[in-house]
Parts: sequence; structure tokens; C-alpha cells
Amino acid sequence: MLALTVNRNALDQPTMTPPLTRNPTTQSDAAPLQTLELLARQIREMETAGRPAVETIASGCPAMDRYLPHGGYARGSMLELLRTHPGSGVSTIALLIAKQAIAEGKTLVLVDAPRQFYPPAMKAVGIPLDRVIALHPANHTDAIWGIAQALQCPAVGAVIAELGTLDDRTARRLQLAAEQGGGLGIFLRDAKAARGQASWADIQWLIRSEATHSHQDHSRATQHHDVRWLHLELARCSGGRAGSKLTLGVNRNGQWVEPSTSFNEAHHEHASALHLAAQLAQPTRRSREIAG
Amino acid sequence: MGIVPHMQLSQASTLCPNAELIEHDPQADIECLSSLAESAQCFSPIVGIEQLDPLPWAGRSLHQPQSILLDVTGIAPLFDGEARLAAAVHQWIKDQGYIPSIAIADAIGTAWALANYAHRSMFTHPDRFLRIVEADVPTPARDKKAMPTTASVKQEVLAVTILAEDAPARIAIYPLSIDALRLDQATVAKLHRLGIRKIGQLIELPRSGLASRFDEHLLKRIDQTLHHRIEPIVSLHASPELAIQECLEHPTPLRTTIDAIVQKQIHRLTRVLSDMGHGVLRLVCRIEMELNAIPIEADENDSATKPPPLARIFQIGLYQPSQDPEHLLWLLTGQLDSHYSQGPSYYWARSISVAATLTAPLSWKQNDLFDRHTTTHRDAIAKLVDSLSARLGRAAVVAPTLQRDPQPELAYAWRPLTGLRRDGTKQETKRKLARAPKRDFSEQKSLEPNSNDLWRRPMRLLQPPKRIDVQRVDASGAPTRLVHNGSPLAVSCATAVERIDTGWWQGATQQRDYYRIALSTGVWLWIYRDRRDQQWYLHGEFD
Repeated sequence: MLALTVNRNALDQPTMTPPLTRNPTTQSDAAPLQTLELLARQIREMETAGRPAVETIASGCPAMDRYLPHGGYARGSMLELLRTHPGSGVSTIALLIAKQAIAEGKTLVLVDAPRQFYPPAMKAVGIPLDRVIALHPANHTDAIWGIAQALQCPAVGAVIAELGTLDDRTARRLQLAAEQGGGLGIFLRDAKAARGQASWADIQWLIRSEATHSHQDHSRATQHHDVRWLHLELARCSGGRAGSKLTLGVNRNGQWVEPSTSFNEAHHEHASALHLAAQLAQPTRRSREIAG
Repeated sequence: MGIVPHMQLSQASTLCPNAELIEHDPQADIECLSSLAESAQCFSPIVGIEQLDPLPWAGRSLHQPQSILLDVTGIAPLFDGEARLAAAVHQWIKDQGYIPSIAIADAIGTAWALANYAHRSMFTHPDRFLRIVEADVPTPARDKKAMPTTASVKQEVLAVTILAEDAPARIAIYPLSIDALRLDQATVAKLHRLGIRKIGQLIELPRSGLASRFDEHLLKRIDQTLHHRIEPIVSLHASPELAIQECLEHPTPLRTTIDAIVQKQIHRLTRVLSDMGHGVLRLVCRIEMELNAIPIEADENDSATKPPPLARIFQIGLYQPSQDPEHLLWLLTGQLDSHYSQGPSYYWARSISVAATLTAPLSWKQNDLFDRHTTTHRDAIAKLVDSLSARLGRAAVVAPTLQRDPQPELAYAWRPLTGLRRDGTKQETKRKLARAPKRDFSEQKSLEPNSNDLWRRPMRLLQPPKRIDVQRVDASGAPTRLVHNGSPLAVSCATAVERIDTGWWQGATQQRDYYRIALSTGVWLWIYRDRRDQQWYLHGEFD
């Protein structure tokens, strides 16, 4: 009933007498747009009524943030990252987002039943290891309980967990826990397992790793060892542009790379007369890396 | 097999290639020893664990407490003499799965020397740090006066030495090695260079000469061993004001009654602690039992084989000092739940005690400009870790640490978060347990080159590595085609080889050539060719 009232009020607004100075045609085009915008905002506010305020966590990647409703991931929300194949870069993205979420001294809780997360790689992402708590639960029930406990804790900035199938009640329980604690629940799921299921997550990214050399661009191929390119598709986004696609790269320093800038830089480097000299200038670095 | 303590792992694995290697866990040792000491209260009210010196003692392979000390003054008559007492302690430790070596003497030093060294010549093994094969007990633990020794299992002799009251201590300890004086390795080596190997030889030397050539510590140890200097037993138990006991008028099987008493005791304890400004780090709840019902016949056989449980001990370890009664009660209730869910017992609670055996000053919450967030979050994290550990188990709630090892699977470790102090800072508190070995590798730089390179190591490490079928390699040896998840795929890109050749000191040498490869599906894998068996293994995924 509340929804109806608000909608009616919102719809009433554009029907008010327009000022005479305005061009009638422009007004009639703009009004539905404004109405839609207003409605979208109100729906979003109602959907996220449980959260104290829409406080967002920037992902650290402006290109990604542009697709998100408030320019970032809302605190106290859930995010699902769907992988097409194991090894397609989902954990890396999860850790990069978590790194932003645990700024301000918060803690990252990693629910890792198969004990596969590799701490040296987490350090390379830039996560302070003294603020990581890993849980190795013995079964699914314990894992869900652990996730809920961690999400409820206000000092936890992000929870990363591998999830299989979830029933509605469990998903709702996790959502409430996240709203209570204000942390970000980042759940890694298999795309096939998640496909047939309704999701309680605010945002769902489907992630594919780009096959090398599939792109005809030579500059990317030369950069292959440095930057990993990933295709992200916004499979679900409450209040955002679902279905949007973007391509992002992650370089060896754990920073996001947007295609256009890397293009330009690579192109510039490629075209530069100093290309050979630049390579010669770093022989020690390269040989040391290879020596391993 | 021919495997003896102090043998190199590489030697041992040659003798027994199929042996399962279990890494030593010092924390588990201390936990086990302290819980054994807790339950040794049935013999004496004053039970302690040996206090270590800053440097490890000669003759010891590990720098950690290994003996339990009991003050048995005036207790022997209750057991009909010292011999019977020693026999009872011996049997009790054997029931726990250890082989004890026990000595009773007037001074701690004498008893320690006798328990540790009097029987050593009788055993094949020079050290007691060999795991008992039959009994699957994780910790070797010993007492000074009651000391289980992992000697040869075959030679199950009653290793009890009782020094007669009128016998002078020096006669008994004269023939023992100078290692029995609890001296550091440097001092013992110096004495060995002087040709002194037995305590008798050392005591015969003039004291003035010893004092000038060695430090005060040597003389102190000699005096302690000869009972010329008093050495106290540092009791493991909480000081009297931190231990609250209540004896029931009638034994009770009722959980509600026990809960109510425990609640009352925890509230009293936290009031005392808040006056002191301390918080609990380790809490022990002890429920003494009494057989209070006649078992039905079917169960008679069971009770005949099992020794009657005299006391149930519940311990909780906390992440940071706490004096919140609700929190402590909640954690303890979880432990009680697991016990009482096993069904009705014939053993009813007779007395209940709650003691804070390890306390520490509550951290001072300074509202620092830069440290603001950390301090506000610390309490919340402590509660979270405690509750997670209580339900999932201590080993399932862990923090990562990096270690200096080039072998990828040994470059990190998961460290439990509860039950030990997190930082090595000095605590102004009575430390009941001797110093736990500190292993913090977070500040050390890893040996692997360029550890900040995100794509150098995989995000997920598969343990153990999985065999992978590589169908084709190029001239340099890098794979170009392999079978992944059942389908043959082309390798679109492979990095230069990273050769890891390490671990010869830990047994078999690891000789691996690692490649990071990108498959045509876009998946990145970390694979290696084992140069010993020429097989390919999948070791990680860049997920």
C-alpha cells in the first residue's frame, strides 16, 4: 500500500501545470524520464530500507563503479560473483573488492572449507594478512553459521565465501546478517549452479576470463604477462543497469586497468622510438624474474 | 626401523619411505601438558609446570616445558607411603596414554634430575621425544615428579625413583650427567671442554673457581639440585581469589543447577577481575563427579573397562582478555552442551569450580587519532573469534602467516587465533604457562623473488597437486597442449619457467619447473613438471 501511495504522488508531479516559458515538447519528453528516475530511486530506497543509509564502498575501479547504482557496493549488501570455469579470476576480483571494503581497519573473513586460498597471493593483492580471519568449517551448516556470524559483526568489512545452492530462508538470513553488521558479503558461485536459482544478492557479476589472442589487438598480446583481461556481465543489479557488459584488466600490481587507457599506453609504447632502448634498460629486472 | 630421535628427516625417510610425517605443533604440546597438569590436581593441590630459562637446556631438543611438578608434602600418608603414591601417579599417567618417569625427592632440582636422567641409561633412546606408537596421543609430556617418558615401548619398566628421606641428595645425583642440572648448551659445552661430564665431578670443584669462571646461574642450579636453595613450584592454578569453588550438599545430575552455579561463579569472578583491571584469557571449569546411581547390568562391562571419570574439565581460551560475564558464560555453555548432550550419566556433579588460570590486563583503550578504527573494532573481533572458535573448533578459526620457504606449499601456515597471546608483548601478569615459542613470520621477507607480483603465485593452491596430462611441449619444454577437466585444450600462452629446487634437508628433494599457462578457454593455471618423475602436476588456479 505504501508503494502505491508513493507512486501515485510521484506520477502526480509531472501533471502539474508547467511554466509557460518551457517548450512543451521538451517537457513532455523529459517528464517521463524524470518520473522514471524518481520512481527508480524510491523503489531502491524501499528495497534497501533495512540499511542505515546508502553508504557505498568504491570498488577501486571507476569503470566498474559507473555501472553500480550508488557508484559502488552498498555496505550491508550481498554481492555474487559467478564463475564460468574454475580459474577464471573470480577470487582475484573478490579480493580486490574486499581490499576496499576492509579499509578503515576492518577485518576480512574468508570462509574456505577446502583450504585453497593461498596467503602469499592475498598479500600480493594488497590485503594486510593480520586483518584476515580464515574459517575452515567442516560442513555446510557450520559454514552458513560462520558466514552469518561474521556478517553480523560490525568490525568485519567483508566476508568472502564459496556458496553452492542456497534455499531462500538461508539466503534471507545472510541478507539480514549483512544488513545488521554493515559488511559486504562476497559470494563466489558456480554460474551453472546459480543459474536456476533466485538470488538474494543485490548485484551479480558473471565473470569470464578472456581467452588470449582472441582479440586481434597486438598490444594486448604483448602485455599478456602483465595484465589479465576479464569480461564482466552484470547479471543482476537492483536499481542498476543489469545486462551491461564491460571488460577490465588487472595488472601485476593488483590494480585495475581499463581497456582504453591500456590501449593508449600500449600503443604509445609500441610506437615509440625508445621501445628497444626501454627493453634494454631493464635487462636485470627481467632476468631476475625469470630466474625465480 | 632404526629411527632414533635427533635423526635428520632425510635419513629417517630413507629408512622408512612410507612414514607419515606430522609437523610438530608446540602449542598443542603446551595445551596438552597444561590440561594434564590441571587434572593432576587429584594428587596434590599444588601442581605446576617447569619454568624454562631464556636459553634452551642442554640435552633437550625442544625449548618448551615438558615436566609437571607436584608438591606432595604431607600427601604420602594418604596413599600409604611414597612408593604407593608414586605407583598411583604412574598408573594414572599410563591410563592417559603416556609412559611416565617419576621421581620423588626433597628438592625440585633433585627430583627433576632423577626423573629425567636416572633412567636414561636403561632406555635405548637418549631422548624422550619419540611418539608412543600404540597410544595415539599428540603430546609427549612429562613430570618432574610424575613424568611420562616415551622410551622404548617394550621396556615398560616402572620408572620411579624415590629418594629416601635420610639419603643425601648428592649420592643419588653424583653419577648423573651435567645435563641434569638444567644448564644452557653453551655452559655444558664449556664444562665438557674442561673434561667435566658428571655432576659429581662438578661439585668436587671449588666454588670460588666456578663463580669466577661461570656465571651465577651455574651455582644457583647446583644449589637447587642439592637442596641448598629453595625453589618454588609456580602453581598452574589460579590464585585463590581467581578460583571459585562450590561443593554441593547432594550430588546432582541436573544441568540447570550446574548452569546456575556456573553463572553465579562467573559473575563473582568477573567482579574480582574488574577490581584488578584484568581480563580472562583462559578459563577452566572443573566439575567433580561421583558415581551416584547403580548402573544396570548391561552397562557394567563398560564401566569396568573404563576408569571412572573423577572430574570433567572444560577449558576455554580467548582471543583477547575479557571480563564480560555474558560472553564467558556463553562460551562455557557451548562446552557444557557438548558434554551433556551425550545422554544421562551415572556420574553426578559433586562440586563445581571456575578458575581464571591465565589473565592479562585489559588493553587500555586509547582514542588515538590514527589508531581510532583499530581500537573500536578490536572488541567486536575478539567476540567474533571467540564465538567462532567455540563452535567450529580452535583449529578451524585461523589467521595466515607467511614463512620463509621457497617451496610453495610451505610458504604459509594457518595459525589458530585463540588460546595464546597474539602479540609477543610483555604482560605484567603472572604467567602460568612458560613462554610459548614465538613464530611470527609476517614481518620477514619471503625468499621468493618479487613477492608483490600478483601473477607470480596462484590465488588458490591445490593440495596435494593433481596429476595433469600434458600432450605436447615445445622446444623449450613449455607445455602447448594438455587435458584439463577431461577436454584437450591448447595452451595459448605460457610464462618462462620458474625452477624451484629445494627441500633436500626435509627429506626428498623437490625439483620442479613451474609454468603459468593460459588455456584457450581463458583459464589460467599454475602447473609444474616434477623433474624426478617427469610428470606434470596442476598446483594452482589463478581464480
